Amino acid sequence: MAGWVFCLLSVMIILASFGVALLRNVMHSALLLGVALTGVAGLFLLLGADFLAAVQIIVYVSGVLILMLFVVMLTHRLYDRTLAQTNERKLLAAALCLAIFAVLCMSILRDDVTVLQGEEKQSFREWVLVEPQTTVATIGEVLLKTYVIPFEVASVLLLAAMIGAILFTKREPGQD
Amino acid sequence: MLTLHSFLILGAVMFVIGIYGVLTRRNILGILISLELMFNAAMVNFVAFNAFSPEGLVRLTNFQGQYMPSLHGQVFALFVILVAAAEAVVGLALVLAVYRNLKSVYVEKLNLLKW
Repeated sequence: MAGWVFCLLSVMIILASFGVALLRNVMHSALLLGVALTGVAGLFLLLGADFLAAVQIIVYVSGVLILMLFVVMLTHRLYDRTLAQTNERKLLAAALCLAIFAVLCMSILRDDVTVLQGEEKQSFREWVLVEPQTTVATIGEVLLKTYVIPFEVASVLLLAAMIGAILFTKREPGQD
Repeated sequence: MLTLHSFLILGAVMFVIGIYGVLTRRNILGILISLELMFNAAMVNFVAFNAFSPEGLVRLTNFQGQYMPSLHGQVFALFVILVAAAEAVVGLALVLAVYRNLKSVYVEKLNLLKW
């Protein structure tokens, strides 16, 4: 059953990402990114990461994506809908992307790299499918014990991003 | 049967589609949106490796003395969400500043630094 759910989610994600990269209308492309991000949140739920799925929907879909939609709506002109959105390097980019995908697939499907030690066959860990646990307490402890320094540095990073954003969009007195 | 390879290949497909979007789109916001797709592909990779790694890669105990599953991949994906949000904020502020000066969001108009 997990295989069918994975197939459904991956079809949704791949179709939405094709729409993100290829559509002319940036608004539609942003909304399809929302679909893709929600599909990724579903994948996180399938993999037993419940807190991460909730954070993905709350922060990414309802935060970052809405911010992008704001900026799309602020910078949108009426003729944007009919302009071609891709430049003249389509074929070269497509060839490069297929080459990168071939290299990635070759390295994924090698047997001596992605077979982890101590496991005979790749199967879900037991607690993911049989005994679901909430991961919130564990993530909280790991964040504040093992990764406390990146946690504090990340708060400084967010402060810097906020200050930078306010500074960039401030109107100077005398500007229009 | 669901293996680790299926998740990794899905992450690779998302990443490559994101690269295509970054390389070919003319709108800056289209480029930023495809960049977010690439971040999500990396996050899928992290969480998939976390779910398929052998139990007890790192043995942690919580305050009650029970063994916790190792969730380092999920914590890293959390940090990816955080950094992507910060980067999106700064990038969008830059786009607004550029739009205010140039009245356009197409990247071929951004040639003020050309010699």
